[in-house]
Amino acid sequence: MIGSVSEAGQLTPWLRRWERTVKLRQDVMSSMFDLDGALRAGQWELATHACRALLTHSALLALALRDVYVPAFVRREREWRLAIDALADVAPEHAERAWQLYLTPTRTDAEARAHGSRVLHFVGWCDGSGETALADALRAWADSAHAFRQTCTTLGVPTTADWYLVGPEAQGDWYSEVLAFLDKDKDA
Amino acid sequence: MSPDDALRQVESTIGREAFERVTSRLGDSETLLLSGSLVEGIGNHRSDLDFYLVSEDSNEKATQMAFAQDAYLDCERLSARRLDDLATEFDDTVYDDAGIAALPLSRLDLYYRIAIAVPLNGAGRHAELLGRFSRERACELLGQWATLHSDANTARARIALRAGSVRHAAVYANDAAALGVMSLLAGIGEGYPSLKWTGEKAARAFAGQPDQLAEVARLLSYGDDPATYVATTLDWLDGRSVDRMPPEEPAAEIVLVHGPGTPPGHAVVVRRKVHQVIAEDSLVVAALADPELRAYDSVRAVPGVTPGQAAALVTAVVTELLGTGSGGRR
Repeated sequence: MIGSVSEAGQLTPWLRRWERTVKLRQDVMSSMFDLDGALRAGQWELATHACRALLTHSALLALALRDVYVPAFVRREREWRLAIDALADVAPEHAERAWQLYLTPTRTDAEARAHGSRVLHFVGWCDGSGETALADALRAWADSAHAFRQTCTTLGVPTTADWYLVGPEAQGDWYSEVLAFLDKDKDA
Repeated sequence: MSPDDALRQVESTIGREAFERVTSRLGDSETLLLSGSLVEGIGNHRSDLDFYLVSEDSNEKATQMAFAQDAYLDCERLSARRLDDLATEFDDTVYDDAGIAALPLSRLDLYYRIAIAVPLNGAGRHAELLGRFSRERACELLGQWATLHSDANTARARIALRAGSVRHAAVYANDAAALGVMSLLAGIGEGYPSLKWTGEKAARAFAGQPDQLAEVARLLSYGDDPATYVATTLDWLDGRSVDRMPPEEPAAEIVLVHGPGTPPGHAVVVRRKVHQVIAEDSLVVAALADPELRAYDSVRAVPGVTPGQAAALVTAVVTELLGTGSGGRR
């Protein structure tokens, strides 16, 4: 049966945009690890830094999910400048909220914790989940990476192999290992 | 950190099973290194563990990762040849400002991480190679790199301020300040090539100096009012800049800016050395300084930019930032 095509586009740019979204989810997840570790260890300056990284990566993710792609920069402050200006065009109220969060000073552990919660709420808006914690971010990244790699395999597009260190006794692939990690981490 | 301490750190952070994933890939002639924030003693239980496998094999692979216990690990396979090239480059090259500014942070980062790394299975055949990586040299280069990029972001902060965006100015000033602190720390052997650890490094370095620590905390945090933060931070940055200017070779000059709504006598510090290596800032600051009298001479000094390109860029920048053409003084 031949279905209807609602929109046609070129495959390679589409895959590149998807891959960029997967990478942004990985960046969000990685910053979540930093924030969680920093808050538990009382390292509030690291927590502040992680919050700024989260705001940047999640703003870029929010844009990517709306098909707005901002060029990647090595330096975070350059990425922030482009991301926040682009977000102001797409969602001005959320961009204003992000600006306020970015510039909020945190001088104590208590302030860092409260600030971290507000930033996570913003991240939840960006990735569409509403409220995000480390486990959610990890799951979102794993799901998107899994779907992306499966799609590439189906299409015959090569992807990086052997990028995950699966254990010698592993029963499944990287995806099932990440899900198992999530279960254990939740219990802990 | 001793190899035994490092092994204990590895097992407590990711567990034995995950560690065995790494060691199971270890060939007879390979050296396994642990590096990163945990080796520096500033990490926490969520910090990723950075492993390097140094191999004679020239087939390097993409970094591998795995999740275990509370954290995740990265494992990168590096050829001895590549490390030898890196050590030689950093040993032998006398960098001028342009060379330092153009150094990708990723190369400095790798050099630093190898310099502080702990060999978990003994350095073996790579002992001599690893001995060529010096933490002191890493800090020396990192300090110079951070200073130049701090200057560049100071210029960007002033540009953003002149363009009327206090918030963007605050972001650039904050980054310039963090890089300035990174440079300070590198000068006392506490450099770390990632800004996220600057606060922790400063807390350790200035543990007995509450005034110094309070100043670092003020510089790294925005404060309640972005405009005040920008003003005080730029003062601090200018103070650092003046302190290191060699008297026989002025690295900066003060020029007057007469922009719309700007009080007469508003000064911009033009750092020539930075402008020679970061064309974007050179063009913008030169344009802001005074398009009619100074900009074109300054811009022509930028390598790779022809006078025609410079004129077009200056016109575009002035039009965008000040809302006027480049033709006349205001």
